Amino acid sequence: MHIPDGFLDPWIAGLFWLGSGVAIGLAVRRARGELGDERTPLLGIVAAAVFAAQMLNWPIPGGTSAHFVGGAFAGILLGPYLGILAMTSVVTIQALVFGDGGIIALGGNLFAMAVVDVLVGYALFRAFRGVNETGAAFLAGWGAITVSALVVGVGVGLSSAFAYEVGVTVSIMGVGHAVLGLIEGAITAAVYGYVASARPDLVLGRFQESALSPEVGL
Amino acid sequence: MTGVVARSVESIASALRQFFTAEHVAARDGFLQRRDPRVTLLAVGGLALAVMMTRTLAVTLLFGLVTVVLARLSAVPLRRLLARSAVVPLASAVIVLPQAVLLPGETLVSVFGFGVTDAGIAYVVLFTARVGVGVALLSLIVLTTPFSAVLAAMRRLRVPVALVWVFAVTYRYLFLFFNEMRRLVLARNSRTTGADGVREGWRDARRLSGTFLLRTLNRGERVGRGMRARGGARPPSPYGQQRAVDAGDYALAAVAVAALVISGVVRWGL
Repeated sequence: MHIPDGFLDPWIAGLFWLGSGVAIGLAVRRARGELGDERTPLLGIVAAAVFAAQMLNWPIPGGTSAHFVGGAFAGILLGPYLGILAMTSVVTIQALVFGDGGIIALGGNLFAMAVVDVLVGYALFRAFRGVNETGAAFLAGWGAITVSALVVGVGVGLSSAFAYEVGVTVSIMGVGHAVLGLIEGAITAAVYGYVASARPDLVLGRFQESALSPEVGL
Repeated sequence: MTGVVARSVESIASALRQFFTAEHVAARDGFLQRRDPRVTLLAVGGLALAVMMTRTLAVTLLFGLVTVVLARLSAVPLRRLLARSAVVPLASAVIVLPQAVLLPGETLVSVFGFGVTDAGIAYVVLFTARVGVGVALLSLIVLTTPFSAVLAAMRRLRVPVALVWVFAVTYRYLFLFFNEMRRLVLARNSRTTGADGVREGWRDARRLSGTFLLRTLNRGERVGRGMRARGGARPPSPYGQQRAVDAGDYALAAVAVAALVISGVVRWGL
């Protein structure tokens, strides 16, 4: 999903930077209000945990493996604003410490993986959790990764640097990630089910309109 | 558990190897290592933007040469830079390869009934070169600028302190958690025999990731209590270091500005 430099036109990359800047700025303001400066750094610990959890290989039929992206899970566990901040930290460190993606394309990667992935995952979970919690977690993981891929497809497809038309990029990214997203959805549901059964107090809105523990929650 | 889940240890080891290699190079004395990290971030970002703007192979190769010169001046082994920068452009070349026959132009050669055009080949080469130089520039930042210096630059570039804190704490705990995940996988692996199927692999991965996340959340709660016991959080002072901009910084910034101007003039004839 990481877009490297060279795929996006500068103006598209600029729009992505603008979009992610506004969303992350809002998240910082809301997080300060909800957490206070004192507890904001603790969010970094959750981000580090999501990052490390991405290292676990999940087997898929055919002998290959997939890994957890975690945007939807961060949204479900932390809520939208803290989820955006946690994934912003993950995506930024992936770029500036491990060299994943690009420096000009970082705005696009943040928009797709830290903003859209988290918000769509959170919204889908909130909308469907009343029907079935595990099903809602699956839908959140699947839908979030698919919509994020569509956003990447639109950005890359509208860029003149990439010769394929937007219809082609959106179709390929959408269909490809709708299939791969089934794995992300299944991982999200599996991890959510485990965490929810072991620590039901951590689950967003289960006891009140709160997420996580008092130390790191909303 | 000897299947795919057990191979997670390799993923973690690979990430750590990349990181420690970069730290080793960043500790050397070189041109980019001596720069103010704000200037490095902005100037290398400017060079990357110049590469993204261009549609000319010669200009792209010129920026590639600038990247190589910066790497040499910064004691970055070219083989290491190439190894870090080769995979993404090669994968990108495969993605755009069909354009070699799709783009209209003069047919150079016919392959399986498809005409490979000059415009198509030119596009594939240019696209691959642009991606390659872009990836190499990001690799230069990774290899020459420790993340603690990047955090200091972010603070001085007025990135909100709360966000810099989150980055700093994520970075601080990342390797501890990598190690914790590695130990969990090894501990589970040492207690099982035989090859696992997909179903067993999922069951193990679910337990491992669930247990791991619960442990890390507990640690977060303990850290929070510890912070309050010590009188509350303080600004991340190690990342607030001041540094004077010197002639080398101005030179690097001038190279980036020149690259942007050249790229703009060649493309749009400004």
